Amino acid sequence: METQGGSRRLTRREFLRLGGGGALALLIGGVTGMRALGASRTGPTLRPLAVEPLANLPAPPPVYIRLAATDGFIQLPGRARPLYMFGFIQVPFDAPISALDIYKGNVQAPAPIIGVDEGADVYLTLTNLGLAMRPDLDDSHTVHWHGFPNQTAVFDGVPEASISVPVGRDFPYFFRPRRAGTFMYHCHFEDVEHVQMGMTGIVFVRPAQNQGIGGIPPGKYAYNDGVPPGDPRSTAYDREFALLLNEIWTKAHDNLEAIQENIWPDYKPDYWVINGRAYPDTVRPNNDPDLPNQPISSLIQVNPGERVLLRFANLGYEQHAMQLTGIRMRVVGEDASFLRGPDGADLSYWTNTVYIGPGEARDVLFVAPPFDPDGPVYTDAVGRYNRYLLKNRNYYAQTNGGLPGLGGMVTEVRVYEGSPLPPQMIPNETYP
Amino acid sequence: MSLPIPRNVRSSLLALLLITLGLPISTSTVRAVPPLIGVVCTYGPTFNLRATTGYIYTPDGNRIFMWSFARSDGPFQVPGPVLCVNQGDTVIINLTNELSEPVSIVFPGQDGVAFSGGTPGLLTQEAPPGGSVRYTFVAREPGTYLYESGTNPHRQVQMGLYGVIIVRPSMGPDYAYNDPSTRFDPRREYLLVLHDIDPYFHAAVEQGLPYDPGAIEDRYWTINGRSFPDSAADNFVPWLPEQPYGALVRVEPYDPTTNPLPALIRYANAGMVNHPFHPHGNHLRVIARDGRLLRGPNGEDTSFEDFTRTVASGQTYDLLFWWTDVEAWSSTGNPVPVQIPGLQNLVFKDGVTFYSGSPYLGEKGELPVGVVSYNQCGEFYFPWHSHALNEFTNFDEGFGGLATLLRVDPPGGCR
Repeated sequence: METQGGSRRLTRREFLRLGGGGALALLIGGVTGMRALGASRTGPTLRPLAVEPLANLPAPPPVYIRLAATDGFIQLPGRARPLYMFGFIQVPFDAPISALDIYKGNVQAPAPIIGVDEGADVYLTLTNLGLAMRPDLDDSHTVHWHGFPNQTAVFDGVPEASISVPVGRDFPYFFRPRRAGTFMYHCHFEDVEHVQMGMTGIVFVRPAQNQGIGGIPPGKYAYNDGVPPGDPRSTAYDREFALLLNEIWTKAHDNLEAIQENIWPDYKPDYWVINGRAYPDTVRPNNDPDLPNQPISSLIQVNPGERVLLRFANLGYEQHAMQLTGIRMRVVGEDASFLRGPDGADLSYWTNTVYIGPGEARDVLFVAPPFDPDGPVYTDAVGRYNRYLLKNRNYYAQTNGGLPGLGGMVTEVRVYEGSPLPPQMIPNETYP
Repeated sequence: MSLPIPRNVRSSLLALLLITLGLPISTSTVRAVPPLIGVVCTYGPTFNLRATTGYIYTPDGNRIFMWSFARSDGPFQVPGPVLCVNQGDTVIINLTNELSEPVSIVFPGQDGVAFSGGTPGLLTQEAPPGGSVRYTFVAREPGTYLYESGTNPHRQVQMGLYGVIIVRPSMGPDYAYNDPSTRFDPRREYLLVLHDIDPYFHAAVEQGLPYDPGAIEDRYWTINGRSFPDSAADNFVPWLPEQPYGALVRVEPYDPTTNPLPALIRYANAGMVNHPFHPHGNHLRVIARDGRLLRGPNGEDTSFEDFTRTVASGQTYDLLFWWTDVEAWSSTGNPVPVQIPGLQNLVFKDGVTFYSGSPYLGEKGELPVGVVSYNQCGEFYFPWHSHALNEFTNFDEGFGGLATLLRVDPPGGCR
């Protein structure tokens, strides 16, 4: 397929070689120490979290990420015409900007999932490639790491409070994350427009505890929980899935494409998406060739008994009620905050419906139930499975453009017979 | 698409900074002089209020008809005065009605409200047009509370008949509750009251035309009666005569010895919809909801932190806020580990910026000729806004609406 604006569509091989396809996993190690576990009480008074310097600890290796801002088109079920989007796409870190023309007009929706280790130096360069479909519109862009604690203004990505990046230029953002959990990132330039147009992604921080500290074995943990994996308060998990929630007001996108103004308080979305796809596209695999600009799957494939971490973030403008029918969930983190009080009180809670406001994040654990051969059984290329729907309980968000049938902000948890799935290598990994 | 900041807004912001320049933050012990930023208390425990009409201004130059509670000896104002009382006070509120329909006040979170005078209404005793009513209650529990009309609230609260009561604990005025963990810096107490406005609804009420409360479509959102960027201006700026309360949050970096105490932030949502309220800069510690300290059944501290707090319609929250200069970047010895591009390779949106030109706290740098900077001494600014971004607008214009600014001064303040 040729893209609008004359730029060349990448082959899938080129795409993967450049690291732009699917979930981006920045797997890094090397942390051998850790800070206090988030206790924040000194005597009767409180003090802020995360004020201890990391200088005495071996730093994880630095991380280099480069995101290009541009435009392009995605596909929505039940809509004949592709939908115009803005967005971020990962590009080679050291390439000259002149070599990045092939990405112009090749937007990815949503932006790559970024995972980094607590304490790592994160170099994130934003390159503004301009808009293939709107050469008249020379908007600047920024990257705002939403929720980053104790941020410095110049790296906060607010154009009115620091700078923004013009077309054809780079800007080097720097982050040293000191707090584990699920965050999000987005452009803050004319944010009501650029966020709705798709310049959104999930970024999460892996806790130092993953390297094994203080008698706690190395592993995958949502937070520095300080307890062994068998403890009921543990945040250990086997598989993780980043689920970015957005609504899409297609009229605004069509207006942008047609060089028309929008009245943003008139906001009236007609599609609801997880990771940029509406059901049933949400359960297609990563890098599905039919969805070349929406590479991130929301399909949750698990073996019975596995512990699963869902990293929810909402960059829409509506609140969402994500319900998992048939499996109870335990909310262990909100807004990159481990749900534990200053005295150690366990503030996590059990629920079937996770309520998430705009700009909020939730870290949610569940244990996959046993495979039930007597329940409804479905079959895919991996094998036989039971299906559990993860859906927005607000029914209007279960539609695609008002058309009949199930759609929208819905995905599936598939619990397989036996344990056919290998260990997860990247977030949101799909099989086969 | 780039929309310029209207000229009147630019001049407003400039005036804001000129007024603030060099003035120390007043302390709460000086009650006679209202502070330029932070909570402006009206002290009781007896308050004489009137329900009346007036107009507010939006940053894009529009004027909106409002109803509000004002002091009987003061001008029209939105929102109503902040009523500050001490725990255990017997609070008396005398309400006089200058509207052409009955009006009343309800006090969510207060128990045992008694009344005298007035006429019976559905929720409480009302003041008839031209008449008055007296409400009396004992402020038993410290915290942040709304007061609002209990008569046709779908019209009267939407029109602006709301305000906030602050009950200070018996432990002292620099505590939010009777718990040592709630101690805050009394120079840094901020109240942010959220509200939403459909100007066509207000126009219909003004003109006596029919309206449908279910068809409200908000176009403006206010904090303390002002939309951004007016919300970031000082208290009592002369160009907003009937919107006296600013919402700028101003702090200095946390220091365990010289600046250990947090700012206290009080949220109250007087509007009809829930608002996901998001500060840049740092998480907030949520210590209380609806005037009750967050404690478990065994007294354990169940406070928590988040970076977006959805404040539901009618809710209040009390939160502690610190900002810590964790990396301590400085041009002399600890520079940021990247090369900031030259000015010709950066954009300063609409030629107006809160940026100092330097990445370093307390330092100023170069800005392009023609760019207006509101920065005084290298302080940092961060927006504090609704993340329902359709509310982060003034009608169709972005970077407005339900927002204010966080200002982080260098240690010791601007010198």
